[in-house]
Amino acid sequence: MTFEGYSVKIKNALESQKISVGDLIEIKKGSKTYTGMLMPRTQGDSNCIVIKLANGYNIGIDFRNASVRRIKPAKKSSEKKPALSFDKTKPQVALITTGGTITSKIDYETGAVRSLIKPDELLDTTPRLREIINLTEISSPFARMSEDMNADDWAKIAKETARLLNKGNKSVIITHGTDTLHYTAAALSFALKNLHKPVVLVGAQRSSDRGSADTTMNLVCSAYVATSDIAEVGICMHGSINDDYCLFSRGTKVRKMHTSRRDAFRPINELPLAKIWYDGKIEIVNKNYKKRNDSEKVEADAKFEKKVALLKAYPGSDPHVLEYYASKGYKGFVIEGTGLGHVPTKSKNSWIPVIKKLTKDGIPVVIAPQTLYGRINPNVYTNLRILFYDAGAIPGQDMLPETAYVKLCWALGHTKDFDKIKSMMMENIAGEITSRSIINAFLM
Amino acid sequence: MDENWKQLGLKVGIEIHQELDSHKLFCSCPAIIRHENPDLIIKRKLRAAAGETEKKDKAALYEEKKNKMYIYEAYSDTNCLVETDSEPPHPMNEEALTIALQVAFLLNAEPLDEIHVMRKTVVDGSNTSGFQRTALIATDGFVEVNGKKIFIPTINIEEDAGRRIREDEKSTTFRLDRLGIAEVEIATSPDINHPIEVKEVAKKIGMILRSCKVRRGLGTIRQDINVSIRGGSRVEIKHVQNLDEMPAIVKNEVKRQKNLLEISKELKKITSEENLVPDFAVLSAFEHTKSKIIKQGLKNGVVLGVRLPGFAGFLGKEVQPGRRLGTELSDYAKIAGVSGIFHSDELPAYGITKEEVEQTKIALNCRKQDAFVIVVAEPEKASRALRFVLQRARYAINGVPNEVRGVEGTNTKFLRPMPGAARLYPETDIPPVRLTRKYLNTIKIPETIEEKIKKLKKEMPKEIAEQIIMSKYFNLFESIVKKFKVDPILVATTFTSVLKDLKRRGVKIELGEKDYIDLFELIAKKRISKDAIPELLEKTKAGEIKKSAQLYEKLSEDEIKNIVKEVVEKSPTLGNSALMGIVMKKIGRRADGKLVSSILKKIKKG
Repeated sequence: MTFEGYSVKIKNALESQKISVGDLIEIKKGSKTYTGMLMPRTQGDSNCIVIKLANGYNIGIDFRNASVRRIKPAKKSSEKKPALSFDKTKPQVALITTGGTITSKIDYETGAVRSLIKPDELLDTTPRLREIINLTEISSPFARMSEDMNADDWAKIAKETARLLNKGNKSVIITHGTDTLHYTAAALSFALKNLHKPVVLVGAQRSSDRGSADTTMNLVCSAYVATSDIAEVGICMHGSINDDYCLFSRGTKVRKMHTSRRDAFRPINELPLAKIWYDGKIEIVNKNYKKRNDSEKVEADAKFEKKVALLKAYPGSDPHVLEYYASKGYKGFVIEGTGLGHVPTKSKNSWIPVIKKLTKDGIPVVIAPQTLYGRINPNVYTNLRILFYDAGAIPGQDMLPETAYVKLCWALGHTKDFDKIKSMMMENIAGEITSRSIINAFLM
Repeated sequence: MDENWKQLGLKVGIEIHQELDSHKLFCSCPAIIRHENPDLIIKRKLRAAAGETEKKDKAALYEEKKNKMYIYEAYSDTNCLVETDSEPPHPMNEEALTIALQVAFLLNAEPLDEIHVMRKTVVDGSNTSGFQRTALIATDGFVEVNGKKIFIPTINIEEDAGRRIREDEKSTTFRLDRLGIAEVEIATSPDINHPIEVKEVAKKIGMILRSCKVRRGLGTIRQDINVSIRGGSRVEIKHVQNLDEMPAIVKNEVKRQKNLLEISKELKKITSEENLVPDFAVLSAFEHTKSKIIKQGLKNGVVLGVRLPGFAGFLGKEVQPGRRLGTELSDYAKIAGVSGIFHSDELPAYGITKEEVEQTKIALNCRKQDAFVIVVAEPEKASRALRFVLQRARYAINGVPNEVRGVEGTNTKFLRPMPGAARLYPETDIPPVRLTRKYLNTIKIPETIEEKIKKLKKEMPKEIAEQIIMSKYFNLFESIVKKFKVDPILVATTFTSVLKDLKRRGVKIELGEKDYIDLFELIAKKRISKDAIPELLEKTKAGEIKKSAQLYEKLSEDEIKNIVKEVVEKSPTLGNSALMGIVMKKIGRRADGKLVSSILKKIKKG
């Protein structure tokens, strides 16, 4: 353990005495003496040394005019064996962890977090999984916060998922940070060809250490989906603010709609595939899903073009950003248009000339709705007709901007031919485009 | 008879939780306790982790939690996502921290350089998060009581828990109005060695707390006391409301521990823990019983009995006034959800006959020196209850169990076993708070209550001064007197005697701070007469003071003159007091009687 976060003075004092985190130390300052366990520092004043007192409280002591000495080295923490193990007779399911707290274990002494390695360890926090699935393995291709992921990571997950499914697992559950969970869900939806088993993405909005963590129900419900016949890529997370049911929503039609609520993931422009009650009851809400067929093999078709930009049109927005990206070699654009799909058209800052030039050069520009709900329409207003017919933008229909972005990355990963891209973007490939706008699929 | 407390080795420590008068500690919601029905209900389950506890029966705990629902009642206007554990906590409420540090200064404690908020694991569901946020802010304080220093090693700031509303086997309901209210926790060392001293220390700390901006009224301060004697055990007595009862409660707890030690000494001579075995028997002796309680219980249960070898005569021994060792066993049985037990030292009674007792003794193989306990309930519940009875009987052989107890009159009653040290780990969502010299220097030490009383006594009679200081309206009183030019005596008596009188008359007053501020603004502007206050308070509703006051708005002297003239002209023959009656009927509370009377006299004189 390093002393990251501590001042040079504290670092030197600790290193010179070979003190490490977890050691029992004594700090003398004036007439006062503090005794406690040395803690790592993650935030706050680097001049204060943090110790855990015998009563369990952490305190910070300003180290100026203070001295430190070691009383006792740290107790070696003994790894306890998991109390339970999986039931081999239950359906075989594999888990891919990509980082984040959902599959991590907290060291309650220091607050440090480490990833789980063995399947049985998951039972320490979520014993109910034992009643539902037999977790065969935990694969961790990488550990990253979801905001740090990119298309390379999607490809890795897709390949690993295909491998685990083709090995005989009934399903793969993927744990993932929530911020960009819906991007990965969309990427897998396009990249997993001939999928006939459920692929369940799940995250947690509250940290796993707490008794009220949403992890538990999310994982339990994900396990139920894993054993179901819904052979789709989807996100399974809380459906309400209560611990009553999760929603399993299609990977291309779902979005994080709240920064912190448990029920942040909402289906958009489509009903959720199913409601998964905590007791295991699966209530199919949307019959439009592929059925399980365990004899089929899935293929990972995971080529993504990374030079794609997702931009937003807004009052006063400057079209030069498009030129900038193009000069950097970008191969495609998704623009979140206002309303039915507008960009500034007749103003001084009109986007039309730039878009026109890009499409002429064979660079696809897809317009998706920044309203999220609803559908792009190229015909209603003159300005729309200018954008879609004169300037050659591609209407993204009822695709979520994020889904359109992932889809364009994937399409450009396969071809650079403008017309092919255009027809791919307008065709429904993984449930991302619906032909009917469902009346009650709004603000669910 | 007074005990020799020193010889007994009496040690008492006090723990005080005092709510602070500010918004909540980690969100901007106001600290308001609600009584109307909630408009939001949230249902949660708590994670049943397999490795959660070391000592308890893991499987049982898991099963119990698996099926339990925690219901949280919330109010959309005074709760937010933070209290529902749906949003990370906001940074610590600075005003609350300042108040807590003022308390620390008045208790001669030293603030820490940097405070770290911790998560303290809570398993009963009273916190939506599953933990309570708490931080140590100052150490090494003391109070002086009668020349003796009582040490206060730690002072914490923490969030209050949700309010338990109801509980059944399937669910527990908490209200989120109280969750998150900032409170300061003060723990003394077990330096107190006399029952009277307990009260004096609590009172002293209470007075110091009242000097600061703290919440007043029922439930805003909670006192727990830890009591032990030599050879006994530390027992935590929860929620001692009445300071005057503290000495009696401590005395009775000492009596209990002494008696339990005596019982243990005797029991050790004749029996041992190994003799207490869960050999339960379903008793057929009660098939045709006349006992109503048993008959009722037999409808869907059984009578289950257990022998307590060597316990004959001990269960009937009094440990506290009106409480016997049998009562202590019964308290444990109740954990299983039964309403009580019967034991051989109290039988025959309750409709149970001598024959039934004899048959029970035979069925349980009781020897002369053995006692028995029976319980009537569904089989599983009954055997769970008897297991708890056996556990308590084992403790009786060993002495005094480590327990958390509640107050019952001036006795104490078992609540739950003493929990192990709570698990604390860092609250990573809240940055540590650096208490710089510069910041600490800005914190003003408030006047102590003694100083305040002294000052107030110059402005009003001593009794009124003392009453208002002890009143829950004191903070409001202070801010009103500061804000408006009003007679402090009038404000003080409004909050004390006027409200008390109205309450005595059965008038329900549900007004908020703003209403009282409005009231005294009207008084200060001389818009209404002080005579109108009681009636106005009675007739108005929350938020409507200004509207209601229109009926009482003061008349100008000219307006009064006009009314008087009119009356006098109409009935020139009437005497002054009769005229006054008619005039006042017209004027109501819109003018002071004295003024009207003097105007009337003037006009009569011509």
